[in-house]
Amino acid sequence: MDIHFRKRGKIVIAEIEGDIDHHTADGIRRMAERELYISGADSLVLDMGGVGFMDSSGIGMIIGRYKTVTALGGRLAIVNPSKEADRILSISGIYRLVRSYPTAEDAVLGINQEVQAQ
Amino acid sequence: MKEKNSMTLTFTSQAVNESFARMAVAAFIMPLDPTVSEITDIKTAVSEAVTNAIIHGYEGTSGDITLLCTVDERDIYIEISDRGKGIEDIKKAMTPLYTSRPELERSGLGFTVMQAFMDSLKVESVPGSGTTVRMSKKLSSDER
Repeated sequence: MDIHFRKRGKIVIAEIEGDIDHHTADGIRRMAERELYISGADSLVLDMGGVGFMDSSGIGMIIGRYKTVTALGGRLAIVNPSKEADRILSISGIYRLVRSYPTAEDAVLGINQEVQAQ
Repeated sequence: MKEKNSMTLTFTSQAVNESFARMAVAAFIMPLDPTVSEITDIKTAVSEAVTNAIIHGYEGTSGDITLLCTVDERDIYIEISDRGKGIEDIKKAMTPLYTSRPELERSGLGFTVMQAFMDSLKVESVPGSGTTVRMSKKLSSDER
Protein backbone atom coordinates (compact mmCIF):
# COMPACT_ATOMS: atom_id res chain seq x y z
CA MET A 1 0.00 0.00 0.00
CA ASP A 2 1.27 3.47 -0.92
CA ILE A 3 -0.18 6.81 0.04
CA HIS A 4 0.74 10.19 -1.41
CA PHE A 5 -0.42 13.50 0.00
CA ARG A 6 -0.88 16.92 -1.51
CA LYS A 7 -2.55 20.00 -0.11
CA ARG A 8 -5.09 22.42 -1.53
CA GLY A 9 -5.79 25.24 0.93
CA LYS A 10 -7.18 23.62 4.07
CA ILE A 11 -7.74 20.29 2.31
CA VAL A 12 -5.36 17.32 2.27
CA ILE A 13 -5.74 14.97 -0.69
CA ALA A 14 -4.58 11.41 0.05
CA GLU A 15 -4.02 9.23 -3.01
CA ILE A 16 -4.16 5.62 -1.85
CA GLU A 17 -2.74 2.81 -3.95
CA GLY A 18 -3.03 -0.89 -3.13
CA ASP A 19 -5.27 -2.90 -0.84
CA ILE A 20 -7.12 -1.60 2.20
CA ASP A 21 -7.54 -4.31 4.83
CA HIS A 22 -6.88 -4.64 8.55
CA HIS A 23 -3.16 -4.94 7.84
CA THR A 24 -2.89 -1.69 5.85
CA ALA A 25 -5.73 0.39 7.36
CA ASP A 26 -3.75 1.25 10.47
CA GLY A 27 -0.89 2.63 8.34
CA ILE A 28 -3.33 4.81 6.39
CA ARG A 29 -4.84 6.02 9.68
CA ARG A 30 -1.44 6.98 11.12
CA MET A 31 -0.18 8.70 7.96
CA ALA A 32 -3.42 10.62 7.34
CA GLU A 33 -3.64 11.79 10.96
CA ARG A 34 0.00 12.91 10.85
CA GLU A 35 -0.48 14.76 7.57
CA LEU A 36 -3.57 16.57 8.87
CA TYR A 37 -1.69 17.56 12.04
CA ILE A 38 1.50 18.72 10.28
CA SER A 39 -0.26 20.60 7.46
CA GLY A 40 -2.83 22.33 9.65
CA ALA A 41 -5.57 21.26 7.22
CA ASP A 42 -9.07 20.49 8.47
CA SER A 43 -10.49 18.46 5.56
CA LEU A 44 -9.46 15.23 3.89
CA VAL A 45 -10.08 13.79 0.44
CA LEU A 46 -9.47 10.05 0.12
CA ASP A 47 -8.68 9.35 -3.53
CA MET A 48 -9.44 5.64 -3.93
CA GLY A 49 -8.84 5.35 -7.67
CA GLY A 50 -5.78 3.17 -7.01
CA VAL A 51 -7.43 0.88 -4.44
CA GLY A 52 -7.78 -2.61 -5.88
CA PHE A 53 -9.35 -4.27 -2.84
CA MET A 54 -11.11 -3.06 0.30
CA ASP A 55 -12.86 -4.93 3.09
CA SER A 56 -14.75 -3.59 6.11
CA SER A 57 -11.48 -2.53 7.76
CA GLY A 58 -11.50 0.29 5.20
CA ILE A 59 -14.94 1.36 6.43
CA GLY A 60 -13.64 1.54 10.01
CA MET A 61 -10.68 3.62 8.83
CA ILE A 62 -12.95 6.01 6.86
CA ILE A 63 -15.35 6.45 9.81
CA GLY A 64 -12.32 7.19 12.01
CA ARG A 65 -11.11 9.93 9.62
CA TYR A 66 -14.67 11.31 9.39
CA LYS A 67 -14.61 11.74 13.17
CA THR A 68 -11.20 13.45 13.00
CA VAL A 69 -12.11 16.04 10.35
CA THR A 70 -15.52 16.65 11.93
CA ALA A 71 -13.76 17.44 15.22
CA LEU A 72 -11.51 19.86 13.28
CA GLY A 73 -14.56 21.51 11.73
CA GLY A 74 -13.75 20.16 8.25
CA ARG A 75 -15.12 17.70 5.72
CA LEU A 76 -14.28 14.24 4.42
CA ALA A 77 -14.78 13.17 0.81
CA ILE A 78 -14.22 9.95 -1.14
CA VAL A 79 -12.99 9.99 -4.73
CA ASN A 80 -13.36 7.45 -7.52
CA PRO A 81 -13.90 4.17 -5.62
CA SER A 82 -13.86 1.03 -7.78
CA LYS A 83 -17.18 -0.72 -8.46
CA GLU A 84 -16.24 -3.36 -5.87
CA ALA A 85 -15.19 -0.80 -3.22
CA ASP A 86 -18.34 1.19 -3.94
CA ARG A 87 -20.46 -1.86 -3.09
CA ILE A 88 -18.97 -2.24 0.38
CA LEU A 89 -19.16 1.53 0.92
CA SER A 90 -22.86 1.42 0.02
CA ILE A 91 -23.58 -1.53 2.34
CA SER A 92 -21.93 0.35 5.21
CA GLY A 93 -24.18 3.39 4.83
CA ILE A 94 -21.12 5.67 4.81
CA TYR A 95 -22.58 7.71 1.95
CA ARG A 96 -25.07 9.17 4.43
CA LEU A 97 -22.07 10.91 6.03
CA VAL A 98 -19.51 11.26 3.27
CA ARG A 99 -19.93 12.36 -0.37
CA SER A 100 -18.23 10.62 -3.28
CA TYR A 101 -16.81 12.56 -6.24
CA PRO A 102 -15.43 11.43 -9.59
CA THR A 103 -12.15 13.37 -9.23
CA ALA A 104 -10.08 14.95 -6.48
CA GLU A 105 -10.58 18.36 -8.11
CA ASP A 106 -14.36 17.88 -7.94
CA ALA A 107 -14.04 16.93 -4.27
CA VAL A 108 -11.98 20.06 -3.48
CA LEU A 109 -14.54 22.19 -5.29
CA GLY A 110 -17.42 20.47 -3.49
CA ILE A 111 -15.86 20.87 -0.04
CA ASN A 112 -15.02 24.54 -0.67
CA GLN A 113 -18.60 25.20 -1.83
CA GLU A 114 -20.02 23.46 1.27
CA VAL A 115 -17.75 25.50 3.55
CA GLN A 116 -18.66 28.78 1.81
CA ALA A 117 -22.37 27.94 2.05
CA GLN A 118 -22.15 27.54 5.83
CA MET B 1 -19.06 -34.82 -13.59
CA LYS B 2 -15.83 -33.43 -12.20
CA GLU B 3 -14.28 -34.60 -8.97
CA LYS B 4 -14.31 -32.29 -5.99
CA ASN B 5 -11.14 -30.29 -5.62
CA SER B 6 -9.98 -29.04 -2.26
CA MET B 7 -7.09 -27.38 -0.52
CA THR B 8 -6.17 -26.66 3.08
CA LEU B 9 -3.87 -23.95 4.33
CA THR B 10 -2.70 -23.32 7.86
CA PHE B 11 -1.01 -20.03 8.62
CA THR B 12 -0.09 -17.88 11.60
CA SER B 13 -2.48 -15.20 12.84
CA GLN B 14 -0.47 -12.31 11.43
CA ALA B 15 -2.24 -9.44 9.67
CA VAL B 16 0.08 -9.77 6.68
CA ASN B 17 -1.53 -13.18 6.01
CA GLU B 18 -4.94 -11.61 5.33
CA SER B 19 -3.91 -10.81 1.77
CA PHE B 20 -2.16 -14.18 1.42
CA ALA B 21 -5.35 -16.04 2.41
CA ARG B 22 -7.68 -14.18 0.04
CA MET B 23 -5.21 -14.36 -2.86
CA ALA B 24 -4.69 -18.10 -2.30
CA VAL B 25 -8.45 -18.71 -2.50
CA ALA B 26 -8.73 -16.49 -5.59
CA ALA B 27 -5.92 -18.42 -7.29
CA PHE B 28 -7.52 -21.77 -6.33
CA ILE B 29 -10.90 -20.93 -7.89
CA MET B 30 -9.44 -19.18 -10.95
CA PRO B 31 -9.70 -22.29 -13.21
CA LEU B 32 -13.51 -21.99 -12.87
CA ASP B 33 -13.33 -18.64 -14.67
CA PRO B 34 -15.34 -16.67 -12.09
CA THR B 35 -16.42 -13.10 -12.83
CA VAL B 36 -14.42 -10.20 -11.35
CA SER B 37 -17.37 -9.51 -9.08
CA GLU B 38 -17.48 -13.14 -7.83
CA ILE B 39 -13.74 -13.14 -7.13
CA THR B 40 -14.03 -9.86 -5.23
CA ASP B 41 -16.99 -11.15 -3.18
CA ILE B 42 -15.12 -14.30 -2.16
CA LYS B 43 -11.84 -12.49 -1.47
CA THR B 44 -13.68 -9.95 0.69
CA ALA B 45 -15.52 -12.63 2.69
CA VAL B 46 -12.26 -14.55 3.28
CA SER B 47 -10.50 -11.35 4.34
CA GLU B 48 -13.27 -10.58 6.83
CA ALA B 49 -13.22 -14.05 8.39
CA VAL B 50 -9.41 -14.17 8.65
CA THR B 51 -9.34 -10.66 10.14
CA ASN B 52 -11.93 -11.71 12.73
CA ALA B 53 -9.78 -14.71 13.69
CA ILE B 54 -6.71 -12.48 14.11
CA ILE B 55 -8.35 -9.60 15.96
CA HIS B 56 -11.09 -11.32 17.94
CA GLY B 57 -10.07 -14.99 18.05
CA TYR B 58 -6.45 -14.52 19.00
CA GLU B 59 -6.68 -10.85 20.05
CA GLY B 60 -3.33 -10.11 18.41
CA THR B 61 -1.53 -13.11 19.94
CA SER B 62 -0.02 -15.86 17.83
CA GLY B 63 -2.05 -18.89 16.82
CA ASP B 64 -2.94 -21.00 13.80
CA ILE B 65 -5.72 -20.23 11.36
CA THR B 66 -6.86 -23.01 9.04
CA LEU B 67 -8.51 -22.27 5.71
CA LEU B 68 -10.24 -25.03 3.80
CA CYS B 69 -11.58 -24.41 0.31
CA THR B 70 -13.52 -27.02 -1.67
CA VAL B 71 -14.78 -26.69 -5.22
CA ASP B 72 -17.63 -28.97 -6.33
CA GLU B 73 -18.72 -28.21 -9.89
CA ARG B 74 -19.47 -24.44 -9.50
CA ASP B 75 -20.10 -24.50 -5.77
CA ILE B 76 -17.38 -22.98 -3.57
CA TYR B 77 -17.20 -24.00 0.09
CA ILE B 78 -14.89 -22.16 2.45
CA GLU B 79 -14.17 -22.95 6.07
CA ILE B 80 -11.98 -20.71 8.24
CA SER B 81 -11.23 -21.82 11.76
CA ASP B 82 -9.15 -20.69 14.69
CA ARG B 83 -8.44 -22.07 18.13
CA GLY B 84 -8.74 -18.71 19.84
CA LYS B 85 -11.01 -17.39 22.57
CA GLY B 86 -14.30 -18.10 20.77
CA ILE B 87 -17.48 -16.04 20.68
CA GLU B 88 -19.74 -15.88 23.75
CA ASP B 89 -22.79 -14.53 21.91
CA ILE B 90 -22.78 -15.26 18.16
CA LYS B 91 -26.10 -13.47 17.55
CA LYS B 92 -24.74 -10.29 19.12
CA ALA B 93 -21.45 -10.60 17.23
CA MET B 94 -23.38 -10.83 13.96
CA THR B 95 -25.43 -7.70 14.63
CA PRO B 96 -24.54 -5.07 12.01
CA LEU B 97 -22.28 -2.31 13.39
CA TYR B 98 -21.63 -4.18 16.65
CA THR B 99 -17.96 -4.47 17.53
CA SER B 100 -16.36 -5.77 20.67
CA ARG B 101 -13.22 -3.76 19.83
CA PRO B 102 -14.34 -0.16 19.16
CA GLU B 103 -10.89 1.11 20.16
CA LEU B 104 -9.47 -0.50 17.00
CA GLU B 105 -11.65 1.51 14.56
CA ARG B 106 -13.60 -1.62 13.66
CA SER B 107 -16.78 -0.96 11.68
CA GLY B 108 -18.65 -3.96 13.06
CA LEU B 109 -19.58 -5.00 9.53
CA GLY B 110 -17.46 -8.14 9.09
CA PHE B 111 -20.27 -10.71 9.36
CA THR B 112 -22.67 -8.39 7.50
CA VAL B 113 -20.26 -8.28 4.56
CA MET B 114 -19.77 -12.08 4.65
CA GLN B 115 -23.56 -12.54 4.57
CA ALA B 116 -24.01 -10.01 1.77
CA PHE B 117 -21.22 -11.35 -0.44
CA MET B 118 -21.73 -15.11 0.02
CA ASP B 119 -24.79 -17.33 -0.48
CA SER B 120 -24.60 -18.89 2.98
CA LEU B 121 -22.78 -18.25 6.24
CA LYS B 122 -22.64 -20.40 9.36
CA VAL B 123 -20.68 -19.58 12.49
CA GLU B 124 -19.88 -22.15 15.16
CA SER B 125 -17.97 -21.19 18.24
CA VAL B 126 -17.05 -22.65 21.60
CA PRO B 127 -15.86 -20.06 24.11
CA GLY B 128 -12.30 -20.89 25.06
CA SER B 129 -11.84 -23.33 22.16
CA GLY B 130 -12.25 -21.38 18.94
CA THR B 131 -14.48 -20.42 16.06
CA THR B 132 -15.29 -21.92 12.68
CA VAL B 133 -16.87 -19.88 9.89
CA ARG B 134 -18.40 -21.81 6.97
CA MET B 135 -19.41 -20.01 3.81
CA SER B 136 -20.54 -21.06 0.36
CA LYS B 137 -21.17 -19.43 -2.96
CA LYS B 138 -22.36 -20.79 -6.28
CA LEU B 139 -20.55 -19.30 -9.23
CA SER B 140 -22.59 -18.25 -12.23
CA SER B 141 -22.75 -20.61 -15.17
CA ASP B 142 -19.53 -20.98 -17.15
CA GLU B 143 -21.55 -20.74 -20.38
CA ARG B 144 -21.19 -16.97 -20.41
